[in-house]
Amino acid sequence: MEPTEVKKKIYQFLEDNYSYQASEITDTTDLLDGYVIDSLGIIQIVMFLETSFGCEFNANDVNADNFKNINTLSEFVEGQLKNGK
Amino acid sequence: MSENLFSDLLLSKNEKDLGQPAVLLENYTFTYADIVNLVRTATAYIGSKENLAGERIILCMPNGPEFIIAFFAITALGGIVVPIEPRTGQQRIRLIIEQTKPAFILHTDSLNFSFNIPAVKFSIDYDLKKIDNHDGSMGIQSENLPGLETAALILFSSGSTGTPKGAILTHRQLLKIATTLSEVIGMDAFHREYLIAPLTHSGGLQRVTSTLLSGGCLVFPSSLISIPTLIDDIEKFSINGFFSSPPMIKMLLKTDPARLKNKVFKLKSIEIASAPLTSLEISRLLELFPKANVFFQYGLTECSRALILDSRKHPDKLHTVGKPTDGVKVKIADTDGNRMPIGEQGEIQLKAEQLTGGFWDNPDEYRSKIKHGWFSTGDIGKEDEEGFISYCGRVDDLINCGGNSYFPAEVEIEVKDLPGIKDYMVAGVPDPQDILTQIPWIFIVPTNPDTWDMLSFRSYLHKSLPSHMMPRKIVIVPKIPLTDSGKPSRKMAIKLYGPKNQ
Repeated sequence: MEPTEVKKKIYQFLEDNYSYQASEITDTTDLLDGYVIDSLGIIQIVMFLETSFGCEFNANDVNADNFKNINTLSEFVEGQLKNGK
Repeated sequence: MSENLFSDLLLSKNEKDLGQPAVLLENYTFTYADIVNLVRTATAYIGSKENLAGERIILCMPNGPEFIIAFFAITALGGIVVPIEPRTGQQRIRLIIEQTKPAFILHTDSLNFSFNIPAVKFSIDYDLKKIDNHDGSMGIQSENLPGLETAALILFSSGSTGTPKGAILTHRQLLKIATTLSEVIGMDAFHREYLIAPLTHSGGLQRVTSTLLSGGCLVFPSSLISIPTLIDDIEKFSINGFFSSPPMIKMLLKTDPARLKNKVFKLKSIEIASAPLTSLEISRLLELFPKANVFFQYGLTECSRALILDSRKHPDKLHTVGKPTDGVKVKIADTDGNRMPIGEQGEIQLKAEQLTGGFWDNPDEYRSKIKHGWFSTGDIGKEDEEGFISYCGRVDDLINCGGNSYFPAEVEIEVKDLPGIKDYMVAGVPDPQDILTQIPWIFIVPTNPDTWDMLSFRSYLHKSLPSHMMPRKIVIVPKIPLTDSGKPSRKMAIKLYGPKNQ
């Protein structure tokens, strides 16, 4: 799976759920400190990524480092997929 | 020693109880004695700024031990806590500051707004269990604590004109709600409460007071809140109960039940509030957590936990929001204040010990809410033969997005002075994903549709509004529809330009 596919899905999620256009945010926009998504958004995006890619998060995975920006989040998901999780 | 929040929930503990855990965060445990010491030292740290009796202090911080310590320290000093979520709309913050004229803002992280009032940073050294940048001296003495009728909290809810209104709650009222919750839920010294709801709202804050009243322990999530975090933490910390808004529950119901197996058997109760769940969803939740009771609460910022449904006890009443809690009276009234016959719809009106006695600096608004001696909720309901109340909707345009309720005017106030816009209207439409109940849409009539910059407009809203108020769709329309009497009509706008027409 191409890395861009995970990123595309995340951008799509942010557009569908938070009305963000791709031109408003970048791969390195701070998702949490930049208030792009709120606590409910984290719950939703975890479920969205699990459903979309068949991966599984545990509590330790849902941390500020993995959810810092679109780059870190997509890298985490791609790592999970590579490891068959 | 007078009765008040600090005395009744913390100081009254005996020596054995003081050694029990009161707060857990990651690898840190704070006993009741630790919390009492931190509150005492915090009163010296905060109270040294000035005499706080009757003063308003804005508490702008995320969930954490700092919020709890600061809340008890301010109220012990006779001050009034005005909680604000760190991400709140700029206009809303400005209006709250204008109304309350706070002495200062207490915060933990850098603030994303700047107003002409002092800001005081407040943090705790978890290892040393002391207030940062403080010499450790103790502040207030027990004999100087405030009485039960002293105002302790101003909770702001949405106003229909866009101006938020602040419900004043006294120590007595907050203790009353704590007692009610503790008794109904069945909390005791073994209760372990998982804090996932914001403490800036009565939903989360009163779980803190009720747990401490019961001698239980408050547990903060080990990482960012998510369904996997919830499931893992319930097992890891032997959680007994938590409070949640329906979106979290709706997502929990979409989780593979196998992930919960053998992990949630110690969970005894879930309390749900803020937006309706269907009886089918409650039934599925009871199946998912076979050993937990599910309590559904109906309340307002002005009167928390007015009604509670015990769903295991009353499986045939899952379509209702339960019965009045101790000390609460409910009337289903027509527009003249007459009690409606059983089974017929009317406005839900309340009388209650925990009902606010007024809005801060806004007596006219409070008077307008009192009808024939009863508090008017703006909610439509009906009562059955056994006294159970069903919630049937709103009399007005209040939007409920993910458990956050607000009037369209609170979003519109951010838009009204922007250039290039001739007319506008915000309305709540049903969430197509069926998670948030409603989502806000905005209908815009640009002065010149060909040159209007939607992207700049969207970016401005993203910077100005909290996410639950951010319009999910910006729809350019030729005009805002009017009723026969010439008033803008949200219902007609949704019908003409809403989801079914996109």
